Amino acid sequence: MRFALTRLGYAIIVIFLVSVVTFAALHASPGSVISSVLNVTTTPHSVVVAYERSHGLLDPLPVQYWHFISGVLTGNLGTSLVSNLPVAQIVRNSIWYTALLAGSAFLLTFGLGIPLGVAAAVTEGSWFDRVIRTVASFVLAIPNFVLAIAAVLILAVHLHVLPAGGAGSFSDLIMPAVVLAAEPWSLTVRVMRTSFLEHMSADFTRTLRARGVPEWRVVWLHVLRNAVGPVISLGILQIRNLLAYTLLIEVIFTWPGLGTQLVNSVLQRDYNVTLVLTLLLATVIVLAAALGDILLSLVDPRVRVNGGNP
Amino acid sequence: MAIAPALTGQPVGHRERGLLRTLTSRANIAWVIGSLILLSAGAVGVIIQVVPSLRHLYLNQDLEATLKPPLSPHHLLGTDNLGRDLGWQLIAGLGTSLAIGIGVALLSVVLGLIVGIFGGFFGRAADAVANVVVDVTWAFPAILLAVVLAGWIGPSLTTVILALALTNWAGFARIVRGEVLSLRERDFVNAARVLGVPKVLISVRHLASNLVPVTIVLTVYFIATSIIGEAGLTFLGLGIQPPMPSMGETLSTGREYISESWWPVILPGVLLVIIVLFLNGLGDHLRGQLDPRGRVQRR
Repeated sequence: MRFALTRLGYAIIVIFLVSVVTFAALHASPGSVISSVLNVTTTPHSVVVAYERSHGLLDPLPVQYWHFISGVLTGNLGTSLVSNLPVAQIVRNSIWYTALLAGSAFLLTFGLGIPLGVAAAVTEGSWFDRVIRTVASFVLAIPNFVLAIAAVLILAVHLHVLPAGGAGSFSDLIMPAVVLAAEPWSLTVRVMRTSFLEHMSADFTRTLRARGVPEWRVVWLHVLRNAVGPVISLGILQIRNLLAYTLLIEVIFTWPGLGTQLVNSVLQRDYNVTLVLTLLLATVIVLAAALGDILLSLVDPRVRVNGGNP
Repeated sequence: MAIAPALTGQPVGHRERGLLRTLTSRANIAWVIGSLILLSAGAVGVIIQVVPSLRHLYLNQDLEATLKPPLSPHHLLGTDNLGRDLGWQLIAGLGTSLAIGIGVALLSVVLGLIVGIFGGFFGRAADAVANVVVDVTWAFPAILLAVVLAGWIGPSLTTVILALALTNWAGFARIVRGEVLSLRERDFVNAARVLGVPKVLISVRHLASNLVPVTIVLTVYFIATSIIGEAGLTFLGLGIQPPMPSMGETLSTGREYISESWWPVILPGVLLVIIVLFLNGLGDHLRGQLDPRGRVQRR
């Protein structure tokens, strides 16, 4: 319990520093906020100054940061500089798409990764095991955006079986989710297989067998429960990668989630949206790491000793 | 002053062989040749960009021969949407990508060594500071960092290099710190401290020098991930900007014409996969030779 509280407190400090760094970087930029709204060279100077004053852009940076962060904490995320929509509404509109895509990929990764990893381990050396391992290492070598392009080229452009992009129906979800899941899936299969094989020849397995416990109980109860540990830590690590890759995959498949929003906001220099979305994603990553450490500390007390830093 | 080799932490020379013999041994020769091919292709790619009279090779447009398939006359690998030769585009792009990869790898390795040793060897306060810096950096995956940097300085070559180096760096610092924690308890480090050698000197002479094998292995992996990273960021429009060739640039231009022709997007994709496979294999091979205990994990 004490470990959990310390770890969460530390995560909050990190999130605070992340917000300071992001805010400072985006507001110290040479082509500052103002130039994304007004054409500074042709607009009269008095108009520029008036705009800056009314939006608090002339205040010292710490004051601006205070306005921003107190707004965020009271639920006021500001408005988009480009569309004038409240940022909160933009987030609400896109966050479910990202959650749906990342969630489906997460389910595919572990729903297919764990059973196939176990199946490969149980049939070690068979043709099935070899096929699974070959597919996994092959998939691992292909960067996911290359896989995405190849999938679009084959399945959408040439075979016309799946749509190349958009988010209108279930079939729109299939390709991005599968492409996104490919890399973590192959990692899961590998780790699951190795860990399972290790535990199949562990001392406790031999003891169980010697005591006459039926083989199916040994494998499916004892070995599986012990072998799944490394997969859980892998899964926690993968949350960060999954979120990062979601951004990329969303853009390729024109999936209207946070990633598409974020990249558009950067390219349109919409600082308010960029700031909020960046902070949102970074916060999720930091919290996921903290929760992962806490989960692991419940499973494995050794983690608590060195504060989750292996 | 004479100190036994075991105490100075210098590798004991029981495996010393000539460098040339090591490189040309049966286990290594294929990797050496592969690396030489990759490096020379990259060098050619950089040279044709730097020397003005050679730029026509990949920049010359031929609007009467746009999107020609591979094996066309004069264009072995076909042409892109502007009729530029795809083969030369790929070589020039490979030059950019490889230069970025090597630059990013060196930058992240140096930063990681400095912060990792600082955190692991200079006391608890230093460790706390280093940990916070690493954790704050870790909150930003490369894409997110590139977003912030692109908002700050605009999308460019610098954005790509900084975004990738800053994300790799944090991961490497963690590995270095872990290694230093065990190295600092070793006899040769204690001996040096008892003799009054300054900590900074110990860091360079005894800690960093013992981290060389790990560092070499990770540098190779970093080159691979940076090449993928460059392509990904440029693909999103956050990286290299059009006149400059790169793997990501060729890929994203090719994708716009995906419904008309496959080669402008499949060829750079295949090249990317081959290079990444080769570099990961090279990393695994080096790890087998330099890091038998398997301290470094890929990804």
